[in-house]
Amino acid sequence: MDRTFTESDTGQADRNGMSFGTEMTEQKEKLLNILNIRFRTIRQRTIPGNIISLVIDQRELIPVAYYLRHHTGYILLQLISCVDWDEENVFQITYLIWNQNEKTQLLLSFRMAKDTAIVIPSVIPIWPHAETFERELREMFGVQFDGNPRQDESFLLEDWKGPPPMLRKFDTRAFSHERFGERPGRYSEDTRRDVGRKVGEYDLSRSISGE
Amino acid sequence: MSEQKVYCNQSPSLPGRQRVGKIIAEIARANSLWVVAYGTGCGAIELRPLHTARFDMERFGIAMRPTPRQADVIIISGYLAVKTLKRVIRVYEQMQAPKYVVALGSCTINGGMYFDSYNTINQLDLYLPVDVYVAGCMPRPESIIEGFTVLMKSIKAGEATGWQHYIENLDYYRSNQNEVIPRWDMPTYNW
Repeated sequence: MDRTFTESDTGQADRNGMSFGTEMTEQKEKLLNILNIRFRTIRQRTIPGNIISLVIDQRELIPVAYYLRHHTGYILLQLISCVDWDEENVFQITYLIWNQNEKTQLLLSFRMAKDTAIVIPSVIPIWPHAETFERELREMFGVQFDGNPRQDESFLLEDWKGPPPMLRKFDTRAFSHERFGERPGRYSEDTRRDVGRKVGEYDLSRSISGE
Repeated sequence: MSEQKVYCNQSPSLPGRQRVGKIIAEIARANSLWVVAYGTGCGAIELRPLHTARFDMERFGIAMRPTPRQADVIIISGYLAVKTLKRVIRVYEQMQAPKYVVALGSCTINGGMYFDSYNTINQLDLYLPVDVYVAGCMPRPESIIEGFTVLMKSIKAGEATGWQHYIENLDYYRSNQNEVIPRWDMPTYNW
């Protein structure tokens, strides 16, 4: 664990009226033990600071989320994010959950293959406001959520046709060039030329020797 | 049927040439530019200091109006998403002629830092007739005042005729607008 991270985070916790030190790790270990006994597929990753990261199997999302919401202090879903690992053909979905009493965060993540038509179970029964997050991911990444009644409504984009724009395969520059055009004369090599000249003129040895 | 009563169903036409008092009218227009209070991008932040005592745009007769029906100028302040472009077209067409468009920032000129975004336009003058471009990212309030000075001069010289150009070349602008707006769920003519 990075020492500077720990110190700064402890200081922040002190400002909030809580003190985390060894106490924090004890709570963390206790929680992880309970989760490991109840759910078999949990792996823990180390993240510096007051963040617990759990990597679970996709099938255990709802049981783990339900347990965290109703039997531990992790009650508030802050966001759902998606990462497109294009080389491995994998989506990584992460749920960020906040514990108000301990002022800690928990990352609940799993990886799923992109090719198969896997549908993620919606966490709306546990956190109703997840509807908005799931709609955003549906629009930006094309991820499907089972049990979200509004997931096919447009969220930020109106009448978007084409691949989901946040996929890494989506060439946004080519799309922009084709759809919105490009004004001639935009590109120039001036900056590169000027910077190159200045770097070349600057004598590094002089400044080091202090002359 | 009720919509047809509310909205004009006919293509717009240019008014007849004004002969008497044209110079006086143009001086009066140039010195009382009323801007519709509609910030479309990050440049709207730079308009706020113009209201305050330091830059004080009211000394040029520039004031903010809450509705497009009372306004002469629309400021496109920065990047313009396609979703916003639809609203901007609607607001612009509801304004009473003569009307002027001031475009702020490099985003309206050539896309700026959003040149490769999937959702922002790159050249504003394909969709709206721009009278004055103010370059910068973002332009300082002084540059915006300078841009308004240029606009005033061109109004007095009778050169700020972008709104006439828009009516004359409505098919050109409409085809460009329809290219980027997939579903035109507005009235055909918004005036």
